[in-house]
Amino acid sequence: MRVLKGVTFSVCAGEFVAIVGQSGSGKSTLLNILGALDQPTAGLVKIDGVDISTLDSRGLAHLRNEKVGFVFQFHHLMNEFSCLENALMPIIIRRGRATPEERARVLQLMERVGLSEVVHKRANQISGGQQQRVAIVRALANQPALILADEPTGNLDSVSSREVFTMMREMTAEHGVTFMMVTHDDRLAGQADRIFRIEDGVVSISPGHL
Amino acid sequence: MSFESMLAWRYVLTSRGQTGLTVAAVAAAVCLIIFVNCLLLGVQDRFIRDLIGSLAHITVKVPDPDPEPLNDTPEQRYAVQVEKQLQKRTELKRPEALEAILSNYPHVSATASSVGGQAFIIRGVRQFGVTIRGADPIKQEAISNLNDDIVAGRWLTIGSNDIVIGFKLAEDTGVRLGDTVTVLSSERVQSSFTVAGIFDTGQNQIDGSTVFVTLRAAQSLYATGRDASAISVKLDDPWQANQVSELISDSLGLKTESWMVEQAQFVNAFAAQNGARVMISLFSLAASAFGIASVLIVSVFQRSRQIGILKSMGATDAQVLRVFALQGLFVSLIGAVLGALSAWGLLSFLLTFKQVERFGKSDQLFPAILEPRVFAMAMVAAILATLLASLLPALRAARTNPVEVITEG
Repeated sequence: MRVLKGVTFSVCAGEFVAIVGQSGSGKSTLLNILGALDQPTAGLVKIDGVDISTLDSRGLAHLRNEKVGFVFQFHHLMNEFSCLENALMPIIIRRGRATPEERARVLQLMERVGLSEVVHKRANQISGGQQQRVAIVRALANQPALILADEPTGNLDSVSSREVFTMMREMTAEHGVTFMMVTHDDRLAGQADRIFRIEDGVVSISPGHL
Repeated sequence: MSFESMLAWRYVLTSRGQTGLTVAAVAAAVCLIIFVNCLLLGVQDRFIRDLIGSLAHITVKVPDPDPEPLNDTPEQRYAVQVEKQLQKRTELKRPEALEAILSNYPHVSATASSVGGQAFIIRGVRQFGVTIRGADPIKQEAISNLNDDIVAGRWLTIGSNDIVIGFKLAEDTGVRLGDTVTVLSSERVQSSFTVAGIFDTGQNQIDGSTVFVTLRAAQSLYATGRDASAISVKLDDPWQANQVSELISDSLGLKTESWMVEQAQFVNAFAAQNGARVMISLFSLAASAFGIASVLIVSVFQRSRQIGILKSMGATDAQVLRVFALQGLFVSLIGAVLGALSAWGLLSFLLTFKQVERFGKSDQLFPAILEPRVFAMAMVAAILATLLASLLPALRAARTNPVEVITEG
């Protein structure tokens, strides 16, 4: 069954793209392919210049670790670890431990998003909005080229939603990170540089706020 | 490896229920294996010590003179009936020289010439059938450890007129230390002896009918001159008896009796016991491994979303495998140590129980031996079994497809 039919596009560094569509339209599949979690059955996908079809599962894992940060609808933090440890996880996966510089950088990010109070608390001891912010810092920990978010505000109340979205926007702009977000919220989508609308596996691209 | 061990250790610490169950499974298996092996080995060890403590490992005698048919040509067939000559005493000539030769054989730790046979102890009108063993006390001591069993009088320093008897025989005959007894041997030599010592070996057979005299005394009783009827041999490893005994009989042409053959029923019983011991150990390892595998599989299933997230962050399949394998390793290490400690405690407690005392000597009721090798092997086996058990769940975890587990919910 073909989920996505003949999709072709390229995204620039620092761009903010919103992906909109009904459930079952194929947007999650698109996101998974973009994040090298899944290989396309046909076609070419290049992330930061690397053709992912040339990589085996180990190579894909390394690519994800270095180039891609994910933010999911549910924060998926690890309750056995503190917020700081969660945020540092991509670095720890790559090298076993974080250098003092990396630690300082992540702590600064946490401070930036207003989490300095809860740095050492366990992930299940803070609010939903705070948890999602930790997830955002985690996605940025390894300084990726691309952040992929799958309805990151879907599970939050409107206040937290606003906060989280603004934060993601600012962070990605500040660090020159490409930001692609799946959302069903047209208001948020309207703020993107470009909107990818998916319907029955076909993508149509339209400009956003520009 | 830091990421994997950090994660594994954190999992062990935070999932208390699972960790508790799996550690308990390993500890129980290790404790059981150590307990059963130490107890059975101890029982065997003591039994062998008691049994052959007073016996020689190998007894060397003159070969029985078997009659042989004179004509042995293959073309002709004869109907032959071979009749063994009945009981005739045959003695080893120049036993001292023979002892020296035997000492050079592998595993031989002590030798003692002996003369023995049947005799009667005469007390008034009553006659008691006994077995006489005549040997040099110091040399015989290296073979049969009689001195530890002496409960009255002496043994090592007895003279040619002294006799040492078992406490049961003393009771039966009403004889006490210092009394004089008359001994009539099967060679019809009669002699008087003073009871110089009384022993209790714990074996009724010996305590009731075996008596010890010096070699010279026995040589007179049986008119053997300077010859000996047998040479007893002690080995540093009793289980080599069959091999060494064959070696001796093949090279010297003498008849040898190994304790393993003479006491074959016990040797077979031990073999059966050892088989049971090994099977119990293997089955408890298997049970423990299955228990652990099932707990870990549940753990992997529960963590499948977390594994997916880790993979989305770039954790490789190999890394995920190592996390769960390490979890199994940590659990098995903790469990093995706990199991070994409990076994040690349990065995030490059992060792405090004493048997009924007799003559101020008492043995442990449960003669377990705290053999370090058993402890080490049980722990290593449990660790390996647990690692193997963790392999299936770990592989399952490594193969988790992040796309499937993340997009639910």
